[in-house]
Amino acid sequence: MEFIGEKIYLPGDVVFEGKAPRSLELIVYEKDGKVIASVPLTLTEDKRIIPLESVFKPKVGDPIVGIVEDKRGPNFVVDTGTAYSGMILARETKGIFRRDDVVFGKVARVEEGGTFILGEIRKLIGGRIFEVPPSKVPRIIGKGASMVNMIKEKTKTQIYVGANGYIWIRGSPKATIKVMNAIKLIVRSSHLRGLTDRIAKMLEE
Amino acid sequence: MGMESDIELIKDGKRLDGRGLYEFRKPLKLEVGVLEDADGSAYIHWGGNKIVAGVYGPKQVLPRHLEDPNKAIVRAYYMMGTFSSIEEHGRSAPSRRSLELSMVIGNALESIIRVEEIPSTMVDVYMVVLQAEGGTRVAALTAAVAALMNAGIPLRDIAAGVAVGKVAGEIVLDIGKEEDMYGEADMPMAYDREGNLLLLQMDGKMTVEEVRRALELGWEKVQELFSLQRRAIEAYYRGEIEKKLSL
Repeated sequence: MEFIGEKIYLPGDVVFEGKAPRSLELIVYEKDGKVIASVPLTLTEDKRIIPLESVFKPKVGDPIVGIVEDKRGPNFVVDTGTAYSGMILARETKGIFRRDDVVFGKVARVEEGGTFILGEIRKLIGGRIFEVPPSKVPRIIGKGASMVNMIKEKTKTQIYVGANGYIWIRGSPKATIKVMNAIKLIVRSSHLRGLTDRIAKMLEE
Repeated sequence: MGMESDIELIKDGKRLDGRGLYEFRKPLKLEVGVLEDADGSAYIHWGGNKIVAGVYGPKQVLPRHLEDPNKAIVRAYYMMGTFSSIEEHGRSAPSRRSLELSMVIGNALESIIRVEEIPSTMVDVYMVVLQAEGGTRVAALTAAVAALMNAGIPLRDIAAGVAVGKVAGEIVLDIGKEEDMYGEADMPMAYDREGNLLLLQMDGKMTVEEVRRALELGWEKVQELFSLQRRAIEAYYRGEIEKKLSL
C-alpha cells in the first residue's frame, strides 16, 4: 500500500509559510511567519496537514468513551485513559453511576488544567473496551464515519469511538474479535492509502 | 580517563577499531516503534551500544501535588542493565551515575518539548542500556528523541548527541570504551538543529582552542544523526517496517 502524503516533516521542519490554525496547536506552531511541524506529519495533495502521531487534549464537542472511576461529592469522575479526566455533574444528569460503568458523552466544556465536563451522557451496558492511540481515532472513524459504519454493518456490532482512544464494542465474541483485529490493522497502517478496501476484504473473509 | 597504558590508540591516522578520526562507530542504526505498549519507542544500535527508549505519556501526574497547571513535567530515567558491561551496574537502587545522567538527559529533552502545550500532565522517558561501550548518554538521548516523535509529543525541534574526545593528542569523534579509559578527554554534547547546545559535559584535559574545535566537530557530525532520525521515522511511517513484518 501507498503512503498517504508525499514528504514527511519532522518537528522543527518548515511546513509552509503562513498562519498556523488554532485547532492544530499540538501539531504545528508558528515562528517568524512560518508554520513549523511539532510532530511527524505529512501533507495531502490539497495541503491538508495530517499528523502521523499526536496526543489527546480535550476540545468542546469531542466524543468520549470513559469509565466511571470515582465519586467526588455528588459528581462522578470519568477515567479516559489519557492525562485528562472527565466529570459528570450530578445536576446535569438524572443517571446514577457506579464505579466501572462505561459511559459515552461529549465534551461540554474544558476547565483549567484540562479536566472537562461531559454532556449528553449515555451509559453503555455490556460490551468491552479496546484502547488505541488517540491520534489514530480519525482514521478509525473515517471520512464521514465511513470506516466505522462499514465495520458495524459487516460485523453486526455496536461500536462507540471516543476521541480519547477508548473504543467500546458490543457484539458476539467472534464479531468482537474480528472488529478488534480490524482496528489493530487500521492502527498499524493508518498512514497508508486504500485502507477501507483492505479492511472490507479482511472482514468478509 | 587518563589511565596509563602502552596501547597505541592512534596509528597512521587510524583508531583502535580501524576507523578514521572523524568517523562514527559502526553499525549506526535506529528503529522506532519497537515496543507494543509504549506510546512511543526507539531502539538504537551504535557501535557496541544497544539501547531501548520508551515514552509513556502525556499522562496524569502522580503524585498529584507535583502537577503544574502551566506545563508538563518531563521525567527521564536512564538505566543500565545489570548485564550491560563488564563493570557492575544497576544492582538495587539507581546509582549516583544513573541519577546524574537521567537528570542531564531529562533537562535536554525538556528543552525541546513544548511543555506549555500539554499542561498538568507528565511524560516519562525510559532509556535502558542493554549493552554498553561508551557514549551511552548521547546514544540514549538520540534514541529518546526518536521515541518522543513516535509518541506524538509536541516538540519544538529534534535533538541528537555525540561524544567528542581527545585521544593521543588528536580531537576525535565518537569515542569508544578504550579511548575513554586511556584517552585524554571526553566531551559528550547534544544539539538541536538550530545549533543550541542542550547538553555538555566534559572530563579530562583540553585547551580552550581544542574545546572550540571539539564543539565544531560535534556540531558538524551531529547532522548525520539528524538524518539518521529522519530515516528511522520515514521507514516506520512509510510502511517499510510493516512490509518486513508481513514477510
